Amino acid sequence: MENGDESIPLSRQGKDGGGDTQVIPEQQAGRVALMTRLLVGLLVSGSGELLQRLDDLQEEVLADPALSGPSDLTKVDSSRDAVRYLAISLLLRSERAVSGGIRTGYEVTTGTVRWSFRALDRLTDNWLMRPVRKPFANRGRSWADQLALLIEEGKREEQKSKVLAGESVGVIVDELVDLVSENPELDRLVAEIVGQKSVGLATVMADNARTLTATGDDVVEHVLRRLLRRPPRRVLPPSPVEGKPQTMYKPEVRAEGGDRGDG
Amino acid sequence: MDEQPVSPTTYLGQYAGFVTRLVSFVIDRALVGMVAFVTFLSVEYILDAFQINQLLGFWDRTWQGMSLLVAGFYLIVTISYDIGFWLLAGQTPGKRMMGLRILRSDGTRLHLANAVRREIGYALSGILFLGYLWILFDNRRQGFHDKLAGTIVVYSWPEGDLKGTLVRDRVQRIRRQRQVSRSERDVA
Repeated sequence: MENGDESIPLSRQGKDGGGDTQVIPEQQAGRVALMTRLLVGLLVSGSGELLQRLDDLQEEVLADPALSGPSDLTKVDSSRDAVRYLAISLLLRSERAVSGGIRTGYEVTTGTVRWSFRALDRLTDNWLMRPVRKPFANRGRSWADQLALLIEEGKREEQKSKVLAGESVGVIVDELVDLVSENPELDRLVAEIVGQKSVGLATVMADNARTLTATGDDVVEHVLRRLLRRPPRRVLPPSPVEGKPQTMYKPEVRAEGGDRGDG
Repeated sequence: MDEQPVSPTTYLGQYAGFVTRLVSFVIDRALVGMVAFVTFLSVEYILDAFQINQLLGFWDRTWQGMSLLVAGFYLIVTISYDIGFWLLAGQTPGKRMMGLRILRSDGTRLHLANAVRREIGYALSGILFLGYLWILFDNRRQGFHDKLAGTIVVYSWPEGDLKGTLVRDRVQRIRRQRQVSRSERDVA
């Protein structure tokens, strides 16, 4: 019997001797791979930066009693506020409960798996079970090696992606600044967006989208009428609210029942 | 003479056209779909977690039954969403994003009867989409559902407060040029 007395470990015991680790050949990155790497880098760097800033901010807020909230916690202004406070409290409590549950579940699962493997190891590590155990052990070792290789590769790729993302963001920002400073129309738009305190970027974008679709309304009708050989519509008939502010849904108008009078 | 000349560049209060209404409709349906999906999954999860499904005998459901349940749920959420927002604000979130408002034909706010008739009209307009396409040809840009409910859809965004953006400037310039060339043609 060959290797009859040799004890075969079920799981990977760690690297012994080194040097036998198979290094994945560096492939020439294609465009898709490059974009994926950039995306990974942006996600990793961005989320890391965000979490770091949130941690710093939280420390700052907790350290300063003036920022931590109102001193009189027993006073609640209205029932609406009470419901809001209740919802916030329940949300945070449920988050704590869920993360606690996940942690416990993870610990229980890993503990059970570890215990099962140890028990299996003891039960099968004898001359009777060794022939059965050997193929499983070999397969297990091979998987563990693959896993370790994947983890190493992921670690290497993360570092590369972070560097790539950092460099690209820097270059893009520089080019954007150059582009804006060279283009007076864009420069004006940026200055306007930054300068308009009451009108945010989202409002400007929504306004542009509305203008575009409203123009699209006219264009589509015009094209369709031409296709159907119908005369083009010069002007729309005036609507009852044309050019007037639409106040019919404001609470004070509703309370007065003002909408029924002129109907 | 109390006739105020309306600025040719303002959309406020004009009848809204097909493209804007289609975009707002798509936004609304996407929102409703998301809300319905998340709510359905949450309810399903809670019912399963507390084994209420088993207690009520809903455990062994076929895919047909499940589809029916999902469709029914989606329909209820859609109807509540539409009618609720129409009555409260005269506009759904999608219509608000696109700057539209639904009013009665005389320019006053919607009543429950109008809203219900409009919702039924939606289903009728969906037959070969003829009711929706009618917006392209109607003088007051009303679909079949608008005709049935006695409603109009108008642009509602406060254009006067927002001036000088790139697209706005360009569009206004083109409209002015077109108007000038049209009046020149008329004179000629």
